[in-house]
Amino acid sequence: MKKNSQVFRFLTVIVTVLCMGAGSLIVSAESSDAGMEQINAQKLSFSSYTYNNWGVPVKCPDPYTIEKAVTGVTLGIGDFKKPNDLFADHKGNIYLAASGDTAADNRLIKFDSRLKVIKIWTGYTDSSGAVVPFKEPQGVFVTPEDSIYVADGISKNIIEMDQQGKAIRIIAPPSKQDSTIITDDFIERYRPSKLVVDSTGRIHVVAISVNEGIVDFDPDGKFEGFLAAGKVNANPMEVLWKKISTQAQLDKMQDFVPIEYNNISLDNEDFIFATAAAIDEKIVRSEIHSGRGTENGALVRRLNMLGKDILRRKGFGPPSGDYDIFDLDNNMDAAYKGISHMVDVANGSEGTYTVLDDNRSRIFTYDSEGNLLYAFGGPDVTAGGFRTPNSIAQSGSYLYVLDSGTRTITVFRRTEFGENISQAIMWQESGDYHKSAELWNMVLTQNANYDQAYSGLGKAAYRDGEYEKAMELFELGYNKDWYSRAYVEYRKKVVADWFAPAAVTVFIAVSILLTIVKVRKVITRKKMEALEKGWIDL
Amino acid sequence: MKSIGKGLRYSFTIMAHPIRGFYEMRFEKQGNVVSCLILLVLMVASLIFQKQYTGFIFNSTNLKEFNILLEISNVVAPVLLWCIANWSITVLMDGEGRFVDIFMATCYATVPFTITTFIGVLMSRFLSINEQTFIGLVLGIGVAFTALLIFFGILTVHQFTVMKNIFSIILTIAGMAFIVFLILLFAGVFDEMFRYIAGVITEIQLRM
Repeated sequence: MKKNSQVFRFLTVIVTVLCMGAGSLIVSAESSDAGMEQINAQKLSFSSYTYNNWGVPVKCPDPYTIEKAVTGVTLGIGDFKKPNDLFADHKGNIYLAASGDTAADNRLIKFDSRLKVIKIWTGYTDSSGAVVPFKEPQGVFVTPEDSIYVADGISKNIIEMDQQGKAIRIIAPPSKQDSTIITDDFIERYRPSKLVVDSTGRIHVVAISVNEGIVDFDPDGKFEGFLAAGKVNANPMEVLWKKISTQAQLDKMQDFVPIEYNNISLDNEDFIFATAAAIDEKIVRSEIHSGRGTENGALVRRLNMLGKDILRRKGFGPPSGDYDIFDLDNNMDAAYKGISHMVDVANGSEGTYTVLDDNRSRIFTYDSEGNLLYAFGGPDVTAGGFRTPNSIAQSGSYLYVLDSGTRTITVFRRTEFGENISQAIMWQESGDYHKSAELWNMVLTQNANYDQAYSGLGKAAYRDGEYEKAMELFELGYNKDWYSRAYVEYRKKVVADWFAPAAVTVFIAVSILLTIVKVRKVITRKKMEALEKGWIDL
Repeated sequence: MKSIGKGLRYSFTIMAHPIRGFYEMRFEKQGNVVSCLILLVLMVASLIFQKQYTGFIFNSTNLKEFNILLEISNVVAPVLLWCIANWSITVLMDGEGRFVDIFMATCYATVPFTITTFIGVLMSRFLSINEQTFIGLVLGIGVAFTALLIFFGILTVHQFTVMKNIFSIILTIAGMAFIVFLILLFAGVFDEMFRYIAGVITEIQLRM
């Protein structure tokens, strides 16, 4: 009986210990739950994601959180009837070009970075001092010297004015005197909508219903020509038709492929980023399928001064927004069919750029190589998404998105995750690989599935000459190009290390073999001699 | 067992002297079916090996979607299709080859492809992305050699002239397409039929 109670006591102790262990486990689970909740509180309602090498979306932490959203009503300056364009200047101020049916709706509004109204212009003062109202402010651009360019759609003018609203000059639409390629039809349909002014003062204008390319003005405001018109591919059938056509027929033929740009932005290196609408969906789909992007299916282009597309497309797929558009049955957004439809592009630091898709209301950020850094946002307005987003602007770690459907400007602020990525890329571009590796490691603690982080760490290891480690990391990040580079160095090292021992071994082996052969020969000869002379007997 | 080894070794004779090799295979009982089946298995193995062990730089296989049965059918189905179509055509064109001969000729012809596939896998583990032309070259040689062997194999087995052989091969490819079409058609019809029967059964079940 006594023994029994001892056993019983022993069992109780064990059970108690076990319970305590389980309890502490539960407690720790609870505390981590609480942590999750904290993250959830700041979370976007749509999960953010990247695409992996196989075109499969992989969830990632949110790169941005919503800081605030404002409408004209909440600001007390009256609803923006048709908000058209957002622009972030070098100082972080935000400009909004909005139009509408009444004269008071056609205005240009300047905000500070937190969207507090600084100034509103409803028109400009011309040289005589009279105020001329805007007809339809479609686009706005502000130079680093603070002069404001407004694309006025209906009046077809581009107005350059100073911060006081005094017109510096009015750039008239292209006329027939400027160039023989300008037709009456062109003058009729030309409606400037978005514009940028590069550091040389050239003005690049995207105009509604102009499909010849980007309309270029020289620094004096004289029409210069069309930039980045669609390229004519020599199609055998077309060549044949051109051969047998009469001159009159040839004159009537269009000698360009129509391409309609819908928005434009200028990056830090003075290159133009332009988004194109109405790209053949079949081409885009086949490029997504093959994973190789080209100019032909480009929804976003980076143009040099000759109109050549120099965007790098080295990511897992082309920078064409969503890839997951094939199996519509399993697709959450089955109602939103088809490829992404890019409406605006904003340039960030270090060659990153962010494009806005108004098909699924998503935002995609790419790095300078064309790797997708993250995608976020979504179509449901009640859950914090957009209805018809039409413009995006970036200023430092803030992203401003304009929704023409809800007439709202939404401010996004980078999360720690987004900030780490941005910093890591910054250090990488400036050549400090150790600092960037530190940040990539932090990114990995937040998202262990982030392929670009492994590539970034691999690059750091590569710079340090740790090629084997670099190879391992590039394999994790699925970066074949860099893996190959690291492998070449690794191979060199292995060959260099092993060449001498291998050569010596081969030399020794060969000489031993030769000696054996020689000795054998000698032995055989001696044997034969002995046999001949009758010294030995077989 | 010995004859299998001999049959396998015979593939090297065929590679070195295709016309004589295929002739002796057809008319002088060289080679055997079992070794041919082994060659086919080796070809499947080489393709699986390629998917599984090609170096990271050159490997674009998603191992998550890798299906070994699919790999097997990717080899076996075309070979069978080719043999059946070729036999059907050449019977009408006075070809002297039996089905077995066509099958054996085809299997022996795959050997260069199998060998170069293995070599390609080996090379892929030692080459960088700039040197991928070499792998392409080796694989290309394998494909071209195999195509050539198939051509001479069919030619010799049936004792055709070159022009007649080209003609028969074109017809064979058309025949393959036709067979695939028939299979799809039948699959579609049977699918409809089974669905109809299943529908009737469900209907009866619901009414009982």
